[in-house]
Amino acid sequence: MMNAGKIPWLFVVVSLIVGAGCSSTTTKRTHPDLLAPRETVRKIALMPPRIYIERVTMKGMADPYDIIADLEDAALETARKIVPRFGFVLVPARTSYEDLLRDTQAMYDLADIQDRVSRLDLEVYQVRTTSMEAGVELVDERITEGKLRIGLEVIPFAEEAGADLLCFLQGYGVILTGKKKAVNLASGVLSGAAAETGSGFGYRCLIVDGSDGKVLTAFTGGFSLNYFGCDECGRGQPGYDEALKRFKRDLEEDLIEKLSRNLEREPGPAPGS
Amino acid sequence: MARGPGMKGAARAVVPAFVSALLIVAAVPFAPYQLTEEDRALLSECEGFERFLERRLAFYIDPEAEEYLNRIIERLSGGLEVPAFVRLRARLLRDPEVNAHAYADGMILVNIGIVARMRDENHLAAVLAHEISHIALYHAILHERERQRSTRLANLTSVVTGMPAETNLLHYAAMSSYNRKEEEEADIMAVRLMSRAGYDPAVVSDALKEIAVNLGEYRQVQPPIYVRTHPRPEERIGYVQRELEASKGRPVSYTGLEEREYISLTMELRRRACLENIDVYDFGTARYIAFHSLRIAPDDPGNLVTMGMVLMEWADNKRWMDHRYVKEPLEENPQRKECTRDILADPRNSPSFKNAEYYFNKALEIDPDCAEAHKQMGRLHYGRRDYEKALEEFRRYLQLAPGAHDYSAMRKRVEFLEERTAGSPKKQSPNEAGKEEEGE
Repeated sequence: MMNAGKIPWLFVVVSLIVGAGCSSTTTKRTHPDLLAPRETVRKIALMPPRIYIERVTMKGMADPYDIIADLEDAALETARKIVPRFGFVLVPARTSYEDLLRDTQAMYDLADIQDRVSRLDLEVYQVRTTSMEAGVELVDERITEGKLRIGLEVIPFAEEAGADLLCFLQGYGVILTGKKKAVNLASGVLSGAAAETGSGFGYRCLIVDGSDGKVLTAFTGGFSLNYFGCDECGRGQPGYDEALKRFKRDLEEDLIEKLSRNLEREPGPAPGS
Repeated sequence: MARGPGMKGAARAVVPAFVSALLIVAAVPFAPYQLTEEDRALLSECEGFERFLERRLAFYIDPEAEEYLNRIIERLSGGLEVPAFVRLRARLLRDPEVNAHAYADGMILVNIGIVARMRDENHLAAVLAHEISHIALYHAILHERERQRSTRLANLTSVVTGMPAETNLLHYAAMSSYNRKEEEEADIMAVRLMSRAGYDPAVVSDALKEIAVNLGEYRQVQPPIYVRTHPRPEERIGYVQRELEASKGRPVSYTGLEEREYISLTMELRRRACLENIDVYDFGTARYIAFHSLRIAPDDPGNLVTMGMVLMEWADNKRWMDHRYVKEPLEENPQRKECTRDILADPRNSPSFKNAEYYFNKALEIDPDCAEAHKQMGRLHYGRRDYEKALEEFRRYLQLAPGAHDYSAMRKRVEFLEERTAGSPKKQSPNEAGKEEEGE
């Protein structure tokens, strides 16, 4: 169960590490409904982020659950800060384990929806390319035409929260410890093959129509996690709080950039600025 | 299967060799064990893993069934001196696979798939005895130590040879042999624990046969992950039989719940296991579970609806799966001929689909106000493109289940159908679109 969708995520992380800074393409994955200026304010509920991290050490792969929990909290906090700057009103969603214990069917449905989101294959299609253009524009027609849906099961969650939209954020990351990076580098040099020597994080964000489960926008993003690379990284270790801060900052910057591009609008001022 | 929390932790310090030897050779449950710092880290990660599963909403919530499992664990471990760091307990995982996992801190994750698949309490006790044995022999801790040692070696080799540690076959071969040895020890100790608790120890062998039958059923779906780490069922049955012969003598003093009571107690869980099996396209297991529930309680509308759902989804899924076969010329693959013939005739009219209708109708005969039966009947009519009838059934469902969690989703479906049946321009159903994109 826990392995579901791991391979595509690994691909995202590897692509992000390899392709960072090399791409000049723009990707359109937004339904016109979300682009059009609206008179009414749209209420959005953030669903609990799902983040999975693997730490690769000399002793093998490990799942640092304390880091995973902290990153999920950090991602939620960051999204709470960013989303209102794009004109949405945040409303709380009933999604904690303790709340859902009272309605097990809702719990199972939410788990299924989250699984479905992580399995979605966000394909893009090339629509035009000429030598005069700076890049290639890619469009996910299923989203722009309103054909990509994650199921009507989202409706009760939106209704309960009084939200028009639901936001899903899911991420996958790999943290290589210092020694493991050195070993990979040495092994890569010897074999002449490209070796993985960096820690990376890839995420996907979906904004879904709460009335019918239609995906209104979806994008992927990512950045390095090299600052988590210490051998004993975890709660209470030196540098951990700083690494967590950098994660929030990187996610914030990336989210702002991607949301601005996808929603075709600039973010409002940061609260308190 | 013995596991550390996600296969990590640490064990740099070496556990005294004589302790390992004692555990492995004499198979003494919960022999005195001195924890190292790394072991403590592993135990704390086990706790983290439990919280992680809660955050992922992975547990199956059924306090009554969980309490029942814990009673069996208590009986099996009664009289054993359990160390303070081990708290034996069962948690039910919403996973249809026929499997269970033991963790170093005493947590046993029992998949609902295995509870539903076992015939009675004795069979389930055999599974739990196997998992308790893993914990009692500190397999998770020792396994983790061995894994780390082997991975370190593989990493060092990679610096010399240039071969990445992750693809080092020697490392996998070493771990695989280690896993199999652990499984054998756990099977043998399970026989002893069953006997001590008064259960019939011969059931361990029967439970393994049951698992072998289940394994033989995996054709279209991936076999369970434990196949890679456990010896073959025939091999396991062989050494369990030898152990049974060696340990003859203790009378059977406790039989536990028999089939009828066991199935009745776990009825809700079995229905959920059927749905989860449908989700992973394991229709064979889903039908097996639904069939046995129905055998015990043939007039229970819930069981009738579940059986109908299994048959309906199976027929519907066959349509998608066989679509691939149709593309292949029949003469090139005669084995698929029969399969293909079914699809060429409309599967909506297939016997499975008709049987599904029979079960829904029977449920409605027994209880005309069974909301779930109306909902599933609506889905069946929808599948047959009979939208008028589907609409009628869905409306009835909404009347009967105003507090249902999927009420608003169903209302939306009804709105869509009303639009369609009113003759408005043809539009793709939200449900259809969702299915298409999810690749179902």
